[in-house]
Amino acid sequence: MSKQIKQLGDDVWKTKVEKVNSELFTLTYGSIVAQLCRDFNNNYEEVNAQTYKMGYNIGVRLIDEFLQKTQLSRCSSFRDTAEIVSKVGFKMFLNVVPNITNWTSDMTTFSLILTENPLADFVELPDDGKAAKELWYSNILCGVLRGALEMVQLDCEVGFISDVLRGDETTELRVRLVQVLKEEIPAGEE
Amino acid sequence: MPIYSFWIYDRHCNCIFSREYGTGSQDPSGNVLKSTPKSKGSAQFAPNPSYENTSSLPTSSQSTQNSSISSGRGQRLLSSASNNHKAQELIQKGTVNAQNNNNTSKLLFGTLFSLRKIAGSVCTPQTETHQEEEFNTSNLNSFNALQSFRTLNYKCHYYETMNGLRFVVVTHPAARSLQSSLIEIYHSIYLPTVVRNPLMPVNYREDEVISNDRFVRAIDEYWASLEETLT
Repeated sequence: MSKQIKQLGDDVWKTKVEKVNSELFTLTYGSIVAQLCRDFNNNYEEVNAQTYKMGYNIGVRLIDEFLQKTQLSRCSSFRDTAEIVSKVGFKMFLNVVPNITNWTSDMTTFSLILTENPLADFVELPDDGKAAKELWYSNILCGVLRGALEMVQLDCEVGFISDVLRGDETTELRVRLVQVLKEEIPAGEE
Repeated sequence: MPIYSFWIYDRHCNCIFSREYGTGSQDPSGNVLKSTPKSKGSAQFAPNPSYENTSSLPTSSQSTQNSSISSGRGQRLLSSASNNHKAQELIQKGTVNAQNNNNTSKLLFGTLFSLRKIAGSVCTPQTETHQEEEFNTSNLNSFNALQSFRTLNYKCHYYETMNGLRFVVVTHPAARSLQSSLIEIYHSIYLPTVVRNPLMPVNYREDEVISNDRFVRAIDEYWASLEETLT
C-alpha cells in the first residue's frame, strides 16, 4: 500500500504537474514574507497569521487540483491520510517527501519532519532577537494543509513546533485531527 | 438523444448552477422534471412549444439547425464551428440558473440525497477501530456511491467529488452511463474555469451562482458534442 502511494506520488509529479523554477518560487515566497514583516512592523505573530490565512485560501482550491491529478478515493483511516499528504501531496506540489513520525497512541496526531524545505532555501531570519522565537517562516504550509484537509471533511489543527531556521534540529509540522466533519444537510423547508 | 438539464450543487447543498435545455420554465406547478413531452423522444434538443423564446426564433434557423444535426450524426465529435453554432442555439433555447431556488432543484437534491443515504446504509464496510468507523460513516465515502437512477421518462446521473461538489445531469432514459462525462466536466471544465478563476468564490453565498460565460459556454459545447453519442 505504502509503496503504491509512493509510486503514485512519483508518477503524478513526473507526468501531470507543471513545474516552475524552484529559485523563482523560493525567492517569491521570501519576498512575500519580507514584505509582510515590513508591513506589520516586525509583529511576527501577525505575519504568522497572515501567511496561515494565505495558505488556507490556497488549500481550499488546491484540493480540487489534487483530486483531479491523483484521482484518489477516500482514505479509510487517518494513517492513510498522513501517507497521502506526505507521499503524494508534498511530492506533487513541492517535490519533497516529509517523514511521518510521532504518532500519538489514539492515532489522531502525527508529525511531518521536513528534511528539506524548498521554501526555506537561502533564508536567514532577521537578527533582532525576536524573529527566531516568534516567526514561523513556512507557516503558509500549515494553512494549505488545514484548508485542503477541511475540504475533505477532516477538521485538523496544523502548526510548526520546530524549524531549522530557528536553530532547531529538525523542521517539524504537527497535524492533529480534531474531528471528522459531518455532512451538511439541506436547510429544512418551513 | 436529448439532454434535459444539468445541475451543480456545492457542499452546502445549494444549487450553484442549473442549465435547462429546451424545456420550458413556464409549467405553473414547477415541481416536476419536465421531461415528459413525447415530441422530445426523437429530436435532439427539440424546440419545445412552451418555451418562451421559441416564438422569436425564425423557422429557417430551426430547420438549418436540424439539418446540421442530422448531417453530423455518427461523428464522434462535431467540428468546433458547428459546436459553437449549436451552443449558440442552446444558449438561446435553454435557461441558465433560472431554477436554482425553486422546488425542482430542491426536490432533485432531496431525492439524490436520500438515495445516497440508503445506498450507504445498505452496505457498510467492516471497520476495526472507532476512527475508521468515523471515517467510513462520515460521508462522501465512495465505497458505495450512487451513480444514476432511471424512470420511464428520464435518467438522472450523479457524480460527487470528495470535497462535496455534486454534478447531476438528467437525460433521456436510454442514455449510457455518463459518470465519465461528469468527471470530465469537473476536471476539464469546472477546474480551469471556476477553481482556477480568482474571481470565483470557493464558498458560495446563498443565491450566489456560477454565471461565468466561459463556463456556461464550455458546458453547452460539451453537452452538444455528446448528444450524438449518448447511447
